[in-house]
Amino acid sequence: MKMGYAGLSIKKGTIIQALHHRKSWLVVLGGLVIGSFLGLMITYWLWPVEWSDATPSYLAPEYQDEYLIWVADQYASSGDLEWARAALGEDDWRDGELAVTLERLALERGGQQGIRLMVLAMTFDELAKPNSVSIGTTTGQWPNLLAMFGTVLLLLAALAGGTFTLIRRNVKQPLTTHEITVNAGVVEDRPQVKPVSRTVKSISLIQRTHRLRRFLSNWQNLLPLAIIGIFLFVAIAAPWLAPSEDPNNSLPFKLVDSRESTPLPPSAGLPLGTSVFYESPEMLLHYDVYHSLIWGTRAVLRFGLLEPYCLPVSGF
Amino acid sequence: MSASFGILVGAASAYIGGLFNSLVMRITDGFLAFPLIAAVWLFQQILARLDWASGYYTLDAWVVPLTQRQRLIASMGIEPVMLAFILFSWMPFARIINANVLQLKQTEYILAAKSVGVKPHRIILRHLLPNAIAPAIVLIARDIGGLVILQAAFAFIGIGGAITGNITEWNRLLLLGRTWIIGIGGNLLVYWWMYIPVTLALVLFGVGWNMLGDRLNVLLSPWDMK
Repeated sequence: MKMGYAGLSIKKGTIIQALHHRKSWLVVLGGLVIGSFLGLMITYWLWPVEWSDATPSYLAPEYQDEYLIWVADQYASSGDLEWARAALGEDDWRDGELAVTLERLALERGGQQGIRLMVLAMTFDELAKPNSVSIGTTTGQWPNLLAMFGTVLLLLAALAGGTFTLIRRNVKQPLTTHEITVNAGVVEDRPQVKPVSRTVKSISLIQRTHRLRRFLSNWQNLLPLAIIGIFLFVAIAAPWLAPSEDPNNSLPFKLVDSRESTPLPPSAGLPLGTSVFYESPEMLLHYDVYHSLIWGTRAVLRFGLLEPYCLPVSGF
Repeated sequence: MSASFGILVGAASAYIGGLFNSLVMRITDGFLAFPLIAAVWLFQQILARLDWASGYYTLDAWVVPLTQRQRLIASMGIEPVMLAFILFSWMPFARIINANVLQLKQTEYILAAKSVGVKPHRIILRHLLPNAIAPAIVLIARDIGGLVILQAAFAFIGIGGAITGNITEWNRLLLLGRTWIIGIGGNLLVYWWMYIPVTLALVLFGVGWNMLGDRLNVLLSPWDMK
């Protein structure tokens, strides 16, 4: 089968020839793949970047977490504070950041490990409060937001692509008046085979937009789109709807400082009150319900959207 | 992941057809027969015993050291519920695409394309899949709502993370609410703000995606093409 622009038969040959024959996208794509492959080879395998005299504060978050847990385990078994100090490079951390990081890890991990980490955090900093409101994380809110945008775009593209490719099938039987007039006009003009395929393409576009408009004009169709739109909006606008105390902190929950052993009712500062985890008077956590609800939308959407398409990895 | 995998498996095996197709479809049936809740519990148990900080996998007296690569994978934080969902939710997609492609394979335009000598991958991607994928798209839209609700159900019975640990926010609210409503000193009417908002949000989420699936079904059904 020949392509649309007959007469230009593509010879197997140089990149320049390929460029001349409208295959530039192929060259660009190939260059991109080869270039990124070479770059990764060089930076990760050939000459990986090496750091010397570094302390854990320089590590990437995931390795830092692992290292801190390891130090906490060692400290729990040996009780050697001087060694732990040296291993963690206490001086290189910003004020109190070490204790805060350890505390966050402890809350995240829970269980035996959590207790060990908490012990280390307490020994390191007397300022460490068990119920402090702001718990710092090492990741900002922007990567999360970008991931959300990317996911939404992917989903929209998939839905749009699927819908439109499906609707295209309808074009095989000419039905609308548009088609007949346009077809007739072209056939009268130039009785050749080539332009006809072009007209069919443009007609299908008319029909597609027509169908899309028809789909959007029905309130029954708009209702689910509106509901999902609200959830998407809440997920994307979470930093503005429920701002954290600390702008660098994007932990999806907020702990309220309260000694009350029952849930706090809704009030001005807490639109939906708090939800309480109570184990003992020392282990008492007040979760802000409104904050959790808003930020939880992200997790739920991520789970729902990524599961059918993407990796089973929570840190995506 | 499950959708794309299911669609690919279904389309490819239907295109090859014959004994291979029936073999693949019987494997799919096998996966379908395995209960999801058992799978979730299995992965939960495996991952809970994976102490990747010390680098060992322990099961009673059986201790297996992990390689560096395995530790890296484990440290990425794989969620047992998600893993089970991915492994055990691709079958409907495979079945539905398989049936459609088997039917479409007999149509004239596919036979025509074959007789002209179009390559198989082109036939699958350009001719078969676009025409067979409609029910799968509907299924995806419904799955998004359904999976989230199912995850909440698993979290509610205690599978899916510790209450103070790595659990999604809505599920944490649900769990916390449970303690204060049916626990000691709990009351259904007093602490209403602990469960009503999150329940409403979950219901709305499920209903929204389900309705979208329904409307897409109407839009994409060939009998409605006007």
